[in-house]
Amino acid sequence: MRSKWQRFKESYMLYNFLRDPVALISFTILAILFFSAFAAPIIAPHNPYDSTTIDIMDAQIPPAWEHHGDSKFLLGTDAQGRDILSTMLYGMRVSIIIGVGAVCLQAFIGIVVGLLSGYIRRLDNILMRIADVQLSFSTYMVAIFIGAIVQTAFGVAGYDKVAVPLIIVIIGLAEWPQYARTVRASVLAERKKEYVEAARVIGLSRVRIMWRHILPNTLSPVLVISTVQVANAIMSEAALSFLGLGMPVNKPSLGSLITAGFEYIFSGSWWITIFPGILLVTLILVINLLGDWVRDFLNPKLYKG
Amino acid sequence: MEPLIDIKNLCVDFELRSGTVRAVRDVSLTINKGERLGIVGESGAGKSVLGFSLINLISKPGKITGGEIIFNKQDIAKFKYDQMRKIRGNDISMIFQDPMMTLNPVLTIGTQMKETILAHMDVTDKEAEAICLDKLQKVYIPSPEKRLKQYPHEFSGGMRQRIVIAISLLTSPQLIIADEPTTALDVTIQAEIMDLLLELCKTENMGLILITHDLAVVSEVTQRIAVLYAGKIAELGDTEQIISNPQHPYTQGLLQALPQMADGEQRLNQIPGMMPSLLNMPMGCPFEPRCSESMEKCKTKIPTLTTLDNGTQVACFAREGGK
Repeated sequence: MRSKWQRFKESYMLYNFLRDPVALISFTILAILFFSAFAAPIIAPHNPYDSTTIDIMDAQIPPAWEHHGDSKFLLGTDAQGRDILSTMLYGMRVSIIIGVGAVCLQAFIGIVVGLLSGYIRRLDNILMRIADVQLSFSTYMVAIFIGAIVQTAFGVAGYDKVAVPLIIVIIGLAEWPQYARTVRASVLAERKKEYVEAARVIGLSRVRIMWRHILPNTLSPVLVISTVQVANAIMSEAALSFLGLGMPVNKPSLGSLITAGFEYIFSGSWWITIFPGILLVTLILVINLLGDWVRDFLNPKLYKG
Repeated sequence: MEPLIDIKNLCVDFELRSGTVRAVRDVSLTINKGERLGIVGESGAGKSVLGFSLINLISKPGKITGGEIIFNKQDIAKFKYDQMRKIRGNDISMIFQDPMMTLNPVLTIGTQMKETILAHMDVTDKEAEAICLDKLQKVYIPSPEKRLKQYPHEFSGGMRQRIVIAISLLTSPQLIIADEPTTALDVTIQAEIMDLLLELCKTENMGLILITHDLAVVSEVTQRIAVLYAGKIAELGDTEQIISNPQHPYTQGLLQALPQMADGEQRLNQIPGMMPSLLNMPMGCPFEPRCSESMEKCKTKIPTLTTLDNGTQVACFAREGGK
């Protein structure tokens, strides 16, 4: 019996992937970004969370290659004297955690709702109407609303502690109908197939038929929207932070770094905003390009021979 | 002979907006233990609906509206979904038409087989695997250990149907309902699959209901035949009797419509007309509009099954009073 690894090595997926330069480059960049984000405590030259190492006298030092630059701070420092490179790495980690976490939550709620409303027709109407109502509120409205309530309830100090899970929940709740609709549509197509009938003839329970038989057959569209949704969630978080409703400045994400630097951009300190901005754009771009590849790969109609 | 399943006056209706379709009308049948019964009829005669109603799995808007299905002294026509689950796949299992469709494409054969066992029997994973291997050997799948780890697309059509048969055998059921098991396969594989089914029924002493429109297949495998027309039994009797000496004009028409190789180039015989729409049945015998022996009486009255001297039961006024 061939091992899983061997099967993977011989698979058409890997073959296709290695012959698609865009996918390959995107994946490499994404892997590097992910690695540097999660290895930030090890590879970052400074620790931006440790206030004892920060000196206000280092504030707004330009990147190392500029006039007045300091080789200690490669990409310069922000208004508090924190090293931009280190803060960006830490910030990207926060952004990725929020993006992936929110998508997991969305996928979980969306898949459960989609399966139920696709397979048990009695629930279809009510669940899909709930999804419609949810979709009629924009993510930002929900976020502003919940964020404001939590901030008043916990106070600013308390808010800092719950910020990450809170933003995950907000973005997760706001976007689950995307998954629910996709999964429901696939389930409606799958439930008429004979293998589902056969599973019922075998005498399996409804839950088992939904989970073991229908769900795996609906996963390819879920995979495709997941990539887009991760990018969307990271962007939503950045937008919320930019509006001052997301991550607080002392525990910055990419979005809050951009906001923090935004105030200084006209006084000449462009690097505080530009570098996190470039990083955010790169991150979103490679995720989306990779998502495009996954979509093309999983859609046999788009095979170009 | 001990009866295995006893169908009494079964009626299945489909409530549609355009009216009620009476797909199965007043069907009574008894299948004994280890007996092989063929249900034949043209498309839309209600063969498959009858088969599905035996495991109480008629999709909406269909419903069993009358009659009883006695199995193990219980009327399973009145069972709820969860009660029925214990019987489905356990005591009664089913084989479908298209083996390409009945296996889940994303699960391995082993997973799908074990699932059936674990749903009905209290065994460990190892024991379940042993049962799977045993049944795969029974359906002549070579190197079953290797095959268990493969996905359905790695098998040919005939092999898949054999795996479907193996799955239906897993729990040693008393009855197998085969709904046109060979229609999607080519002729050489058809014979192979039918021989296999016949052999397994004999060795395991299982009952078989073979639903098909292929009289040749039925005549080889079954002991008795029920001819279904517009949801009613037109003729019921021993296979040999029905094939060699058909009584109902419809059965006669069906047998004449078989292609004959020996006769050289000829047009096929056919039964004129079409089956009446199940939405508006003629008042009398449903076959009357197409029947060559139609009488006045046939237009107004529905014939009931009467037993002839040779044991065949037939629903036709022209045969009443015996021959």
